[in-house]
Amino acid sequence: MTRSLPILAGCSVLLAVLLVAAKFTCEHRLAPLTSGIQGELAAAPVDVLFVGSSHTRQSYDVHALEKSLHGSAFLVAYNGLDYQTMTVIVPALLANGKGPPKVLVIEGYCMSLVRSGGLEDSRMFFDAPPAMKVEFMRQYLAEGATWERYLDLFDLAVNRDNELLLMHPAYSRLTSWLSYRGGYAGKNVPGLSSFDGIYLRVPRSSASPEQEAALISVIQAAKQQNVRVLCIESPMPGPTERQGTVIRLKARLAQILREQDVPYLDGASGFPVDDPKLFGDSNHLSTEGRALFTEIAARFIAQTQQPDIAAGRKNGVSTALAAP
Amino acid sequence: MLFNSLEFLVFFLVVTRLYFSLSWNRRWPMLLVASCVFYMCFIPVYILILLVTIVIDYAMGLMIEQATGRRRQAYLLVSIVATCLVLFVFKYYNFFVLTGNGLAAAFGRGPLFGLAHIILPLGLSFHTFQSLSYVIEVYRGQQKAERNFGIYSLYVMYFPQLVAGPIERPQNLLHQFYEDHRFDPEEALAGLQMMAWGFFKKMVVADRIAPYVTRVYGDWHGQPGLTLLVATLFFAVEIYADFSGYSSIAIGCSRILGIRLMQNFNTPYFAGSISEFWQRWHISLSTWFRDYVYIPLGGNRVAPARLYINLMITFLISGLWHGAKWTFVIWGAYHGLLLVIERMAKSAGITLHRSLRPLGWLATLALVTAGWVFFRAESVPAALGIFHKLGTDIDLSLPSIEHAVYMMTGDNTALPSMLTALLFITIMFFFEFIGKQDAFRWATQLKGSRLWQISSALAAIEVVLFFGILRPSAFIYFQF
Repeated sequence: MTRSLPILAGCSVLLAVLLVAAKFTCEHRLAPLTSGIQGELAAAPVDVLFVGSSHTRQSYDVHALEKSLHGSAFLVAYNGLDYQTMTVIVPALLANGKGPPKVLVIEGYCMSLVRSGGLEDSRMFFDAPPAMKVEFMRQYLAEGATWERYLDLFDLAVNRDNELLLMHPAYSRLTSWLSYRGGYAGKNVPGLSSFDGIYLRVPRSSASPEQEAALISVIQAAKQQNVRVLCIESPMPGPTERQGTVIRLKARLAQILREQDVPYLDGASGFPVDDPKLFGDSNHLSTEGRALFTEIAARFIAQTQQPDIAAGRKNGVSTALAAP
Repeated sequence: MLFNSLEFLVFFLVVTRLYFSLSWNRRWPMLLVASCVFYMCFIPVYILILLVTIVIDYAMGLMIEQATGRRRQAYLLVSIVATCLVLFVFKYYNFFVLTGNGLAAAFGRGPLFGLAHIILPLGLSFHTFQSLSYVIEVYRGQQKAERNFGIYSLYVMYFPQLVAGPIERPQNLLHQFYEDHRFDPEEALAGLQMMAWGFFKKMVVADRIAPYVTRVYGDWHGQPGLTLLVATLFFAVEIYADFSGYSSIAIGCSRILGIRLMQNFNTPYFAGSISEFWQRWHISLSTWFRDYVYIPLGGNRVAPARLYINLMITFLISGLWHGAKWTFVIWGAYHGLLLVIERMAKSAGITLHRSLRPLGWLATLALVTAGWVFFRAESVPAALGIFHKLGTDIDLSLPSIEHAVYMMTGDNTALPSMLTALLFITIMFFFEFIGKQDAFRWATQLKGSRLWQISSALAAIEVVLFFGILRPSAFIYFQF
């Protein structure tokens, strides 16, 4: 028995190392093909590629969008996906062997400007090929190589999202059933009955310089590939839109985009933001809101493809919504 | 320092290595220092509260032993009052102030007392009860007063069971600190297996479902009845996996050091009646209340009416022991009432036929689970609101089920995590059902070859590593 304990420990470590290596190098092969990074790589080339957070996922009906645009669309959306993380994902998506998209729609969520980096949605790490995983880890440590961050990365590489592997047959069917090209399919998000208690917690009052620089970097990476870049900010409930910090951050976002000559749609402008049934919570649309906003976004994308309309933008913010 | 943290792993390895490298008369001082370090990792200054309890009960133990007649009673009383006073000040003061002020407000008066800003010392209810059991046993003549202040301090502070039990009796624990424990690989492996099983219950089962319960109970107003039902069932599993997981880790740790702690759980959710449930749930506490409250009140050797009162008193105190909130008092009263009804049925000769035993199990499970609503809810109105929704707002149509899942997980893609939780819950109860009380130990001793023993332990470690929630979260019973 005395010999058994070291054997137990040795076997345990060896098996763990083998399993972690297998997970790191192969798990992305089991990622869903109807959403996320692997879904986009499988579907490429697409005409319009949206990249953003859950805000993006909940804002568009991809079926309706494709119908309106007479082209293909795909949403790469992960919870809390910010601009710093986009600097890893977007170049990889643009550089896929099948050709870049014609239009890249970057989410213009004001919260993305104030996030402090890191992977909020670990599925992003799961879906990423090994080289992208390494880049995520490198970026995370570049923000501060603390002991806690190493533990976070250990957790991410060893433990996180293993349930997706364990439940793979059920998970892949579920995602195929519930998603279409990165957007929800047949999922009902009920609207609110009132805005009572609705408030968006914004962690800081001014934009993070790192996030601003990352946004500019993403725009430039796309432009270098001759991809037309747009920025769309989905509407949020009236009380959220009227929060001082949100107004300030949106103004800063509009300013950056104007400087980069990127057409920007402020979704709140012209959208009935005071109708609770159009929203599922403090910052996401309901199914009904999604249907309405998809039409608006499709119109904006179509109009910005025409240079004369794009040139008619006022102060960098689209006035296309005024059209019926 | 939580059991499920890297710090504890390092701490325990160092303590074990030191322990077995020292001669036996140096081991208890080392364990005492280690226990102090362990406790001071939370709020260091609170060790002084422990010290006060230890000094009082140590002194009273000696004085009780030397005294005769009424003096013995007086010293016992001093000890009980002093220990309970510490509990009252740190745990119950604000509860009584809020209740008193509430009553005053009902009579149109202003607040009578101000609230105190006190953080509850970790495991206060556990170590005060352990300390009390010592003086009571000395008073009863069942235990000799401990002369060695250090050993007595270790009895109260022994780190594996310091913050959440099992609440030990002096007869079981004190003498073990004097024994010379040699490293026994068989015992060490058994201890490791128990720890692995405990980590599985805590990190793979309890911590995985805890976020769902927190999300739903934190916003019960906006939840449909179906979500509340699932969250309540999940909480029943969570509290069991969390607390029995803690106990298994504590018992396993101690066993590696050669010190045996008492069993704290014995598959309580397979009990066929409420009384059987209480013989299997938090055994160290229920036997404490039996020995030091219920029996001194007269136990069951009294008239039926008095017996029912004794049961209610015992369970009301037990409820209050768990927390200084009316929800816990009602939870205790609820169980007391169930036991009274069970006793009444038994007295009237109403018993379940053997063939109907599964029905008794199901009814017990349902009643215990319903009781957890009071235990988990933030307030009595919240608990009543949840019961109202459970009774009137259950819709089993497919869209409602989809909506319920969405409300629990916040995102349908989080469903695999929930399915994984269900899988591991099934595994846990399967092993507990077939293993009766010590599932993992049973599994590893199945006519087992060494290879089977090693591979099953290996599997448990890998499962914890790959499917446990590695970010440490506190054990539920730490708050008590």
